[in-house]
Amino acid sequence: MQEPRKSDLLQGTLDMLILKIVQFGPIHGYGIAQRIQQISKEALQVQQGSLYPALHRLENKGLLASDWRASDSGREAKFYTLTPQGRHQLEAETAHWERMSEAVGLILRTVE
Amino acid sequence: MTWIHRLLRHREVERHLDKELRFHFDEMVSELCAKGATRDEALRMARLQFGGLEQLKEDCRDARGTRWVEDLGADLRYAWRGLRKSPGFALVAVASLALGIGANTAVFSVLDYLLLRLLPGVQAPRELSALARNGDKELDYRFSWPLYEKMRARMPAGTSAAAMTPMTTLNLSMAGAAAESVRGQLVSGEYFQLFGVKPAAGRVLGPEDNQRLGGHPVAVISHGYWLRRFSGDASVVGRGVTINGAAMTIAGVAQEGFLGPHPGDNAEVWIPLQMQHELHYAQNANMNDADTNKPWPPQRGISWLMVFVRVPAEASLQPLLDNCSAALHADNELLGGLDSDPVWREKMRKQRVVAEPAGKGLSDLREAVSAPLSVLMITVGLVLLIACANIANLLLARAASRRREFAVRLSIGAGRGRLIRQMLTESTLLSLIGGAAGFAAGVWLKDVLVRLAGNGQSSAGPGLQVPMNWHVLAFTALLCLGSGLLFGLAPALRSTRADLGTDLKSGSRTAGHEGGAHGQRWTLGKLLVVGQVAVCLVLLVGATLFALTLRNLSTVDPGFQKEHVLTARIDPRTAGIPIDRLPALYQELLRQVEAVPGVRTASLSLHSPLSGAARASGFHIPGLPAAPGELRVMQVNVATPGLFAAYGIQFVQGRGFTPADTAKAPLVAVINEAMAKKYFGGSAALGRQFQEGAGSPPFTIVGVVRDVRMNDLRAPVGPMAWFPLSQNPEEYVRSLDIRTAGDPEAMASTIRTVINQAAPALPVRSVTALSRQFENALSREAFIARLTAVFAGIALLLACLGLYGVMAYAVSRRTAELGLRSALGATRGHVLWLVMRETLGMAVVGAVIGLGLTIASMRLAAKLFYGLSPDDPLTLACSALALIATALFAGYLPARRASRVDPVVALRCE
Repeated sequence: MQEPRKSDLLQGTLDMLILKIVQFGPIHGYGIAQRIQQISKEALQVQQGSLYPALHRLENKGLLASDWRASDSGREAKFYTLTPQGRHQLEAETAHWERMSEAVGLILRTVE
Repeated sequence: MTWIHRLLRHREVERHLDKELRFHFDEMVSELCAKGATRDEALRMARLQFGGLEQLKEDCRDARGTRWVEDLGADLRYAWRGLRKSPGFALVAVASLALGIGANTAVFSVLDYLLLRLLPGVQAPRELSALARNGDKELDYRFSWPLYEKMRARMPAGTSAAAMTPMTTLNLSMAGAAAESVRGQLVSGEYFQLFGVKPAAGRVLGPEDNQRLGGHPVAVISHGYWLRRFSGDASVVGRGVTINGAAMTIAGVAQEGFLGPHPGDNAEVWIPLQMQHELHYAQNANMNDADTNKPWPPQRGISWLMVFVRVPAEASLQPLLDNCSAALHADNELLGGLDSDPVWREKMRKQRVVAEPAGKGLSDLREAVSAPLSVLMITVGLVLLIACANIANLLLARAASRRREFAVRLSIGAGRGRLIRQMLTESTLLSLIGGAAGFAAGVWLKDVLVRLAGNGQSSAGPGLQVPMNWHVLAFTALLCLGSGLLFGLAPALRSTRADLGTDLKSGSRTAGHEGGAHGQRWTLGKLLVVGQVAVCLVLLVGATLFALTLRNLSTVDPGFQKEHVLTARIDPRTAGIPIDRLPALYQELLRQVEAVPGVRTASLSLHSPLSGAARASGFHIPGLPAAPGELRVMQVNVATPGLFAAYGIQFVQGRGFTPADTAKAPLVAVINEAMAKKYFGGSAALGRQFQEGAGSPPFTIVGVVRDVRMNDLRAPVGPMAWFPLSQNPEEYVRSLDIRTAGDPEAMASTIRTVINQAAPALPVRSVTALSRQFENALSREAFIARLTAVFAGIALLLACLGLYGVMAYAVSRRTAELGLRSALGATRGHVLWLVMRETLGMAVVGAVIGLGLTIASMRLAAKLFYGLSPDDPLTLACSALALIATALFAGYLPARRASRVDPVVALRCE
């Protein structure tokens, strides 16, 4: 069970981050977690408990597609790709996020 | 993958999920190993980081859109297992529902077919009306043909009308086939236009078939009869048939689905009413200054036709009725014989033509069964109520016994909504199984009902076919689903609101929240039982009163001896036998039948008792004029001398008919006691005289017999007279009555053969024992009595089960408390009383409420009872006591169990 307010915030953000990572090319769940961690310089750690439900939810909404193919290690893994719908969603969310962070930044930077 | 795809490949989806997560886990392990950890360390760390795998999987399943369907499947499987684990509960619940739903579907299907359905092609019940004149007590639906023509000429534009006889039995034969009895009507040419019926082959009758008296030897047959008799062969049009001895041509076939205006009594043949004389039709007529042996249509004095009118939906009937009333008054003025009595004239002037809605048709069967069916409808409704209360109680008790299970599940994280959903699934499954069983029961019960309702109807033809009503089925399906949801929801909400602490502590010593003496005094369960007891009493009293009515009626003295009598219904009229050959035919018939061994006496008469047929006539007494407005009407029968012996009708005074009463001898009559007492001062009747009309020759009374109940076993007997057939040789008799030495039914086929030999052309409709007809005459009462008894029994059983369930549950909740009481010195009797007190309380409160309900509801059914008052105190008291006693018995079993609780076991049972 998750605490509602925190998860609400994280869920939206996590979805956006996942879509962004997947945009770079087909990738499996483990890879997504790794990339988020790397790119954010270890600042963001994605737990499996949030990652996989989010992936399944996004897939169910039709924002992600998946298929099974061989990973680097040679084992079969489930690779996710962005659907056109997912791409659209990502653009919308990115724009929204930038507007929001700019707004928040403006307020925080206000002196006096 | 679409969601439906995922649902269908549930197993594969699960395997993929597992594989995906395992891949992640293994990748983590190998990365940790690569960073220098040992394999064991890596595994441990990965597991720590990964958390609960099953929890993660659950979350992933939630994220899939198909979760609810998968859950539904799981819930259904779980519910099914649960029901199989407690078959007693499942059986009682399903049986309750099946009985309630089945009975309601069946009764409502029949009710709807007979009482509520509109005729084909009719949109609103008031669109089609039957005209009638408001007479003394009952409406008189009969009009003469000249009056009909006059009324029709005065009808406003846009109105259509048609005249017709009621349904009658016709004798139809064809070259190369045996004669058969069919049902049909004589109709005016406007008939098919009025009902909007088109031909399926050939033509239907039209206004051109009204033109010439006796000049339209054509018949239209129904679509059903066409299929049944002619296999739908189109070449039937133009074929010659003989109907009631007259040669006719089949002109066409009526459109499919049209069965005439009498639901339950379907027409197969229609003939222009101008053919009345040729068909020897003579039924249901009101005569006034008329000659029955001449053709009827031109005669103003013979009222024999029903008139149906159809007005546009928005138009008012009033102008039409005013015009028709004016025509009626003009017609009454023309009739002779009415001018002498001013009161009578006044009455005639007040007579009006009224309209009865006939959009649903006019049905004798409907008249006969509407009261019983309404009683049944209420009865089965109440049974359904009891059944639902039972289901509610069972579900409540079951939910209560699972409180701990739910408490455990709630405390380990099950959502409340999820639990409620699961319980709802269970109760819905239950009601669906009950509904399916109810449907099967309904189909079966409907046929039983139709058979029972149609019993005693001697009509020929295809009989009553009631289709299963899909609206009713949908209604019942909704009802059962609704009851499942409703009665599943209450316990579901209650159990999931559980106070976890109390329930986990198993709380038996504190006697829980319900069922215990210390908790609420009247729990929902107990209130339901009280309601059941109350409703049950209504049904019990009703069933008892109907059974008593049946007993009272079957012990009524009919005035004749019903044992050892065989009656054959014959029909020389429709066979077309000419009047001058009748005496020879009658003589030959009697001679041959009386020669059969085992026959004591044989006689011929117009109609036998309980046959449903009757003839009435006005009469005059010379020297004793009727008081102003007094109506002197007697029932009439014409018979051979053997009649009184054949029926065992006893003479109070005088003699019966003798061979000496010939056509040339003085006219004689035998009257009943009622007539003798009312008009001739009782014992002084012999030798007195009366006439049928003011100018007709007088009859001398030669005998007085005990009152005979002819057709109605309930009504008081009115005046009746018998006349010798020898002095009325032109009468077509309808009944051959035989007193036998032995079992009359054993002789039926012999008698039929003998009649066929004696008069090959004579149709024999039926040969039945009089005792059988007596039973048939009571079939309606027997039908109500039997079915209400069955349903009252079911109700009692259900109520007892409910009571037993509540008490057994209460006792199980109080085991520890009762154990404690006996440990502290309570005797067995004490504990027994403690539990029985509760049962008694529920039964008595229920019975008191029930008494109020019963007295109110029995008044509504009062006219169905005979020889007793609807609030007969003895019946009420006995039923209430019987109910309380049965309830106590149901409560005794759990009470005894309670009294045998071993204190040690009870206290240790935590």
